[in-house]
Amino acid sequence: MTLLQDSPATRKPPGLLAATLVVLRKDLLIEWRTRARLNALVFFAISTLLLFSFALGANTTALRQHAAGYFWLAIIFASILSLSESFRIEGENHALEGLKLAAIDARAVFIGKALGNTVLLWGLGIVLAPLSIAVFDLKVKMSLWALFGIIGIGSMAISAAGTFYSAIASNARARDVLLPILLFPVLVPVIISSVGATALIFEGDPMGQMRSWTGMLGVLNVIYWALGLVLFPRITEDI
Amino acid sequence: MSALSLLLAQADPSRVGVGHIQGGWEFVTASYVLTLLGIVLYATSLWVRRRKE
Amino acid sequence: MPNWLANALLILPAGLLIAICFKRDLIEIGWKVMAVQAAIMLPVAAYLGLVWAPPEREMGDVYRIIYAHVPQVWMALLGVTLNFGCSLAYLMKKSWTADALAEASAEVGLYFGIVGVTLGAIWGKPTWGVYWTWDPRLTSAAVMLIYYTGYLAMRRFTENPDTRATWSAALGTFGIVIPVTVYFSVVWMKSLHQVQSTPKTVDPQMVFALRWAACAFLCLLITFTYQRYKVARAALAREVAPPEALSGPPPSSNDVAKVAV
Repeated sequence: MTLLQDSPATRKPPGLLAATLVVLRKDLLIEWRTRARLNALVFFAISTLLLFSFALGANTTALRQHAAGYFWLAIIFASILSLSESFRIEGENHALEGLKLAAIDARAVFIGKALGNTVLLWGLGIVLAPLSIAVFDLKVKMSLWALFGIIGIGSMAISAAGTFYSAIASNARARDVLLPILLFPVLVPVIISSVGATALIFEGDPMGQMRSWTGMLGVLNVIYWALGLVLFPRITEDI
Repeated sequence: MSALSLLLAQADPSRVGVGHIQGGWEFVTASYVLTLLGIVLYATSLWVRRRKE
Repeated sequence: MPNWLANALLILPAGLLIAICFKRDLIEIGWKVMAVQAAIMLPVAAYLGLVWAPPEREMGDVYRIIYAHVPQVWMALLGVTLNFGCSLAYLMKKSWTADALAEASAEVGLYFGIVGVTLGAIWGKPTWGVYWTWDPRLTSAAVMLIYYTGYLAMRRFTENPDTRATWSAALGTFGIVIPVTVYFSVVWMKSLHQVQSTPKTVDPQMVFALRWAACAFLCLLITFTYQRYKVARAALAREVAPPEALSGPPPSSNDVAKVAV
C-alpha cells in the first residue's frame, strides 16, 4: 500500500520552476559534498594563467595589455573540464534516465544544470579576478562589482551553450575531443564581447563602449538560452 | 608645387611605389590551380563513394 | 556585357530548383543539367576572371583571385545555411531526406570553405604582406570550418541513425550562430578585411565576371550536394529500412485477426 501512495498517479509532477530548483539543488549538493570540481577548476585556471607568462616570456607590459584575454581564456579552458564533468555524473548509475523517469520537464534539467554550471564558473571567475589583478599588475578603472557582473553574464552565456553541447558530446564516442571542437566556435562572439568589456574595466571607458559590449553579451545570452531550451528536450529524448 | 610632390621628389625613387601592386600572377595561378584541383579531387571522391554502393 | 545576361544565367538553376519542388522526378535530369552548366560556365569564368576583366586600380592583377575566392566562400556560407534549413526541417518533422541533405550540405559547405579560406590566405600574401593575419573575418571563417568538422565527426561517431539525426539536427540549428558571427565579425572587431563591396562601387565588367563565377559555382554546389546526398541516402538505406517501406498504411486489426486465424 505504501508503494501505491508514492506512485506517479497520486503525485503530480513538479512544475518547471520547482523542478529547476530541484535539479539545481541536486547539482550544487553533489558539488558541495566533494568540492572536487571547484578545486580542480581553480587550480587548472590558475596554472593556465601562469603558463601564459611562460609562453610570452616575462614581458610585463604585454601581459598587462592582454590580461583580459588571458583571464577569459583561463575561464573557457576550465569550463570544458566543468561541463564534461557535469554530464559525466549523470552517466553514473543511469542518473539521467532516472531524471527522465521522474517525469521532470527536460527544460528544467537544462535550466538547472546550466545554472549550476553558471554558479561554478562565476565562483571561479570571482576567485580568479583578484588573482589576475595581482599577478598581471592591473588597475581597476571601473568598479570591481562591474567586473563581477561581466563575469556573471559571460559565465551564463558559456554555460548555456556548454550545457547543450556537453549533453551531446558526453554521450558520443570520443567525447573529450568533440566538446571543445563544437563549443569553442560557438563561444567566439562571447569571447570577443566579454574580453572587450573586461578590458574596458581595466583600462577605463572614455568612448562609452561598455554599453555595446554588455548589450551584445545580453543578446548572446538570450539566443543561447532560447536555443538550449528549445533543443535540449529533443536531444535528451535519444540518450 | 604642392608639399606632397616636393616630398616625393626628395624621396629615393627606388623606394617610391607605383601606387598599385605589380605582378603577383604566381598567386593568381596558384589559386586557380588550387580551385581546379579541389573540384577534381572532390568530384573523384564523390564518384568513388557512389560506386561503392 | 549586358546585365540581363548575368540575371538570365541564374534562371536555369533557380527554375530547376522550383520545378523539383513540384515534381521530384525532375531531379535525376536536373542534376545532369546543373553538371553540364557548371562544366560549361567554369572555364568561361576562368577566362572572364583571368583575361577579360580589367586590372584593378590599386591591386593590379592580383585581385583576380577574388573571382575564385569570393564565390567559393559564398557557396560555403550557402551550404552551411542549407544545413541549418535541413536541420530545422528535421526537428519540425522527422525525415530521412532532410537528414541526408543536412549531411551533404555540411560536407560540401566544408569543402568550399576549406578552398575559400585557403584562397583567402593566398590573397593575403601580396595584398596584406602575410599569408595569415588574425583578421576576424579570416579567423571566424576558419573557426566555422572547425565547427562543421566537429559536426561531421559527431555524425561519424554516432551509430544509431535516429540519435545521430536528432543530435546533428540540434547541432546544425545551434550552428547558425557561426555564419552570423562570420558575417558580423568585421563590424565587431576592427578589421583589415574590406567591408562587403556593393555592385555600385565597382566596374560593371568586374561585377559581371563575379556574377558569372558565382553562378558557375552555384551549379557546381548543386551537383556536388546532390551526389553527396545520394551517398548519404545509400548509407542510411543500409542502416535502416527506408521510410518508404514503412510509410504504407499500418496493418488493420482485421488483418491481424486473419493472420491469427
